[in-house]
Amino acid sequence: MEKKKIVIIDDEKDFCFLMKSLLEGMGPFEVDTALDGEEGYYIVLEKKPDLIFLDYVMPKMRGDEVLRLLRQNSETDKIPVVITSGLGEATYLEKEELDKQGISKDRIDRKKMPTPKRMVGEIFKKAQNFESIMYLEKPFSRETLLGLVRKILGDF
Amino acid sequence: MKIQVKLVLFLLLTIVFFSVGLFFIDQIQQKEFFTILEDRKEHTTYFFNEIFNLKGNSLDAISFDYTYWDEMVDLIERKNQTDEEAEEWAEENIGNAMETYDIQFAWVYDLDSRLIYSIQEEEEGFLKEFPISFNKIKEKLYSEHFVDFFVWSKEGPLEVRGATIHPTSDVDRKTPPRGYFLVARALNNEFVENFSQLMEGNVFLMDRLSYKDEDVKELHRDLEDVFYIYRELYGFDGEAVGSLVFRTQYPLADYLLRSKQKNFYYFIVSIISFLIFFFLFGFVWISKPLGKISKALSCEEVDQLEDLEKSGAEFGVIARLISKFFKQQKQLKEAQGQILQSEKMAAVGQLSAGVAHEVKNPLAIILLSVGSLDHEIAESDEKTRSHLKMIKEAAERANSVVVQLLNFSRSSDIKMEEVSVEEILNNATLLAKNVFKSKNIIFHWECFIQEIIIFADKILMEQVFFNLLLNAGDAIEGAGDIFVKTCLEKDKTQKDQIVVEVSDTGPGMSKEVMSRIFEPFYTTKEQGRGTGLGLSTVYMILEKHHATIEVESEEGKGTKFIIRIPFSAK
Repeated sequence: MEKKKIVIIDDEKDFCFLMKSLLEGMGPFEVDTALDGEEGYYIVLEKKPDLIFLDYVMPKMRGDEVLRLLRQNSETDKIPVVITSGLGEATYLEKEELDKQGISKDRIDRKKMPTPKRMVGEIFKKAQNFESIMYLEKPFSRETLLGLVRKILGDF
Repeated sequence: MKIQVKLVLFLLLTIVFFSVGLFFIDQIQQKEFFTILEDRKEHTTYFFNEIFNLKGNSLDAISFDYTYWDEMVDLIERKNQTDEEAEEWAEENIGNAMETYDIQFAWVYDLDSRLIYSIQEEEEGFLKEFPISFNKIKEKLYSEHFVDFFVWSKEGPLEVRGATIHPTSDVDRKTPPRGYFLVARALNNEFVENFSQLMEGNVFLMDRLSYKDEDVKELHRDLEDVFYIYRELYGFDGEAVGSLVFRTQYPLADYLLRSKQKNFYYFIVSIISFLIFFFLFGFVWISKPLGKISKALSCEEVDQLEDLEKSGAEFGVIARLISKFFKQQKQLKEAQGQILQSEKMAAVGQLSAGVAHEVKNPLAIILLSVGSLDHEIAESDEKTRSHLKMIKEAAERANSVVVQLLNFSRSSDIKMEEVSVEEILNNATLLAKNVFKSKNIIFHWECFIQEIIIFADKILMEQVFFNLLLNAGDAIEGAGDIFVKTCLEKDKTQKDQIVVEVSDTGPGMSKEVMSRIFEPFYTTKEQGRGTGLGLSTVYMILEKHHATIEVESEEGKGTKFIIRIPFSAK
């Protein structure tokens, strides 16, 4: 039986290592890790994994950009993606959005800004295959991870 | 010094000034009055003397005219021979002259002091002989030719003139006298009445013998409105035999005196009424409102000024100004407090977001590592397993704190939608019931509003009531009740608002606790059970919805939270 391939894209090195060892301990998985979005994108293109764990805030390329690129590519647009992030990171996203627009946070009418929850929702909506994207909030336990992987990849 | 004392002093000073002024005016008036009186007295005295002298003129005239007359000389010589013709002549000439000259008595003596002839008016008492010894007079008369004096006879006072008799040719009386002629006028009632009429006053006679020194003193004394003019009537030997007195009352003086008195009474009465008026109205108009204002200011209770504020007078304006000032100060303090609270919460929110991000990644690693280790260690290694369990629980607790912090920081991100109040409360209650299913808590519903739809963030609003119910349930030890009551009310500006009351039968809390419950990180729960962010989050969320929260609590009687949500909130 061919090993299922999983790619973990996260700028936290320890997290990648831990996930790799956990997943490999769970079943017959071949796990690759990438420490930034760009590297992760190329690894996905190369490996064509069955499941991607994607962090949101990363250097070089952000999680949602990686996701957009993957969805545009017909070879990768069906791959299930689990976004691993804290809502706190989503708040950071919002800040980045503001920085991009070059406005100070104090002067912003917050009601008009997308809320973190909604931003995640936007990401979901952008994805063509809605079911293939899940959200796993950090921190999560080994059991939660196991349950989610089992749900997506089926029994192994 | 109090204003009342100052006013009284001012009043007293005013009265003193008025009194002094009045005194001086009175003095001047009195001086004028006495000048007038003096003038009048002088005038009257002059008039009195003139009349008196005029009255004496006729006596002078007869005593002068009838004594250089040959017939008179002849009378004396003939009378010595007791000539009846002479008697007739005397009767005709002297007797007739008496009425003309207004005299009542006449005597003729010869050089030897013998009474030649005497005549008098019938009504008078009979005085055949001259009332005093003629020999006394003769000497003086002989040398000086004329005498005039007064005699107080048994018939009353007489004014007497005497002259020596000479022939007609000797007008200057160079030749020795041939006899003596005496005339007298009785100062009788007629005389006095006549005098009184002329003087327009009361003229009377006083006998020198019968009046005492005191009477004279009395005459000299100036009564204020009555004065006396008196003229002593000197006898032959120069001693006064009596006085003619004129007593007059000065009507103007009397009037002036009485008006002076009246003025004084008017002054006293007006001062007293002014004082009464001043104290009564001064008290009502000045002292009372001032006292109220100063009392209200000193104890900072503006409610006391309510009555005064209605007044349109200056004190009303002041009172309104003061209460407005206090109200504004109070509002300012409240607003300041709210701003401070909001700023504090916003600061905590921003901090929380940053901290949460940094904490969540390490927590993820910890939890995954624990999970991994737990999976790998031997079944029998209970000790390690229990340690791992502790690490896991601690990490989870840390995470729950981070989650709450994030909730708190995100409570300002609201997404308004149309939601049913009932639904929000139902969902929150269901969640809370689930939490407290092991506790003996009864939830009571009292809903006076149905199918009310408001604009709100459904999830955040659910969180509000869930938090409140959670607090209520936590407060109850053992068994108890939680009440949720909703109704519709009008606010101050007559706008509809939804009121939700969440109350419990817990132990309540002290005022000190009550004043701090909305502060971030303030908790009364035991270590590890509360983050102190629950009510802060509630406060933040409600603030974003323009809703308010109030707390009522009494130790031992439970706590009640009252939430007011504007109905038109969009």
